[in-house]
Amino acid sequence: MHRSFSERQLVTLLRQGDEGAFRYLVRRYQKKLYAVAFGITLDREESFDIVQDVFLNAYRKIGRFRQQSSLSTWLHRITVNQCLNRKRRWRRRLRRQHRSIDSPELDPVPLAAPAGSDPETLYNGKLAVQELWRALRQVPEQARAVFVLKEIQGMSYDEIARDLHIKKGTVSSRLFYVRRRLKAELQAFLEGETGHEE
Amino acid sequence: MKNDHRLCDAEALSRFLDNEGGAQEADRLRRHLETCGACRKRLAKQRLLSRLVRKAVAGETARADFERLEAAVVSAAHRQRPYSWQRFTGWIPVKKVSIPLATAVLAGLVYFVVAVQRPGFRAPSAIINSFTGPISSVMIIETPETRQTILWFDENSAATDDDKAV
Repeated sequence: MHRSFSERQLVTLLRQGDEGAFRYLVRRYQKKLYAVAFGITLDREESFDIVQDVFLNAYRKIGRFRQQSSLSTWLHRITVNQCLNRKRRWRRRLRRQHRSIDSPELDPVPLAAPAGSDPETLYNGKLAVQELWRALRQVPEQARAVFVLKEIQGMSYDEIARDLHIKKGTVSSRLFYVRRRLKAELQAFLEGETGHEE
Repeated sequence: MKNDHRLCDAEALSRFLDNEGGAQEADRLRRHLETCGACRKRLAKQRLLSRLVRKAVAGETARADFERLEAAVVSAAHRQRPYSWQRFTGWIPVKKVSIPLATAVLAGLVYFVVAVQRPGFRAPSAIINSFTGPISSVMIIETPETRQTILWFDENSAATDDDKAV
């Protein structure tokens, strides 16, 4: 059965232990939270675990949610904190060392190409994504979190500063740093796409 | 119009892309962009980079198995504490109140058991009488609940008397 709730109704029902409301919460936010978690961790299984933990945390702590911010903001804040404070990092890294070289984990998803795209365009898109993940892995996680909240979530500098407990100026400088670094790493792809106007 | 590269400011362009630099900075950059091809190219690369990131993450999200995620989350939630307990603890600031409260209750309980309820602690026992004779000694001790009589026999002196009798 597909139901729809206002945010206030949803919070009330979650506090009463309504399973339908909980399923609705998961369906409504899981994609957005996964996108943020993946953007910061760049690891599919880890992002999966983090999103799962976020919903369980929300389930346990919904009684303490005071509705001073939106449910979405609250969930995103938990997700970012989980990503930056995760303790399972080392366990995952250890596991990754034993991963087969044939594992599909590192296989990049090709960019959505227009219908009828030729194989070369598809190949270049796939290569660009591969280069993007590689370049992003070299960026410190705190800076990557700022970048993801801006690019994926579209949050303002003030919102990012408040959520990450940093100054607005730090948000600006970290974004600049990540963009400069990515532009340098993806130079060939960006040059090819933007031409040589000077 | 001639380019003035002293006005090229890559960090300000980054803010301009995000609509965050303020109206004055945005006006200055708009005027600068009209004449500076290098900054126009920088801005175009930044926009392209943003699109690439958004598409790449969207592609990654489309690939994830959210049915598995939902099933795992709901199953894990079922194993958690019941909601009634959760609601109870929800409005109590758990760590700030319950831990000191539990410690105080435990300390009170320990004091009650050890100091108040300890048997025989309320009143000491007393020796109310004693006698010593050639063969035996008698001591009478009284506690609040009982009266005890303790006898000692001097076996050596008894044996000596028996020997004398033989």
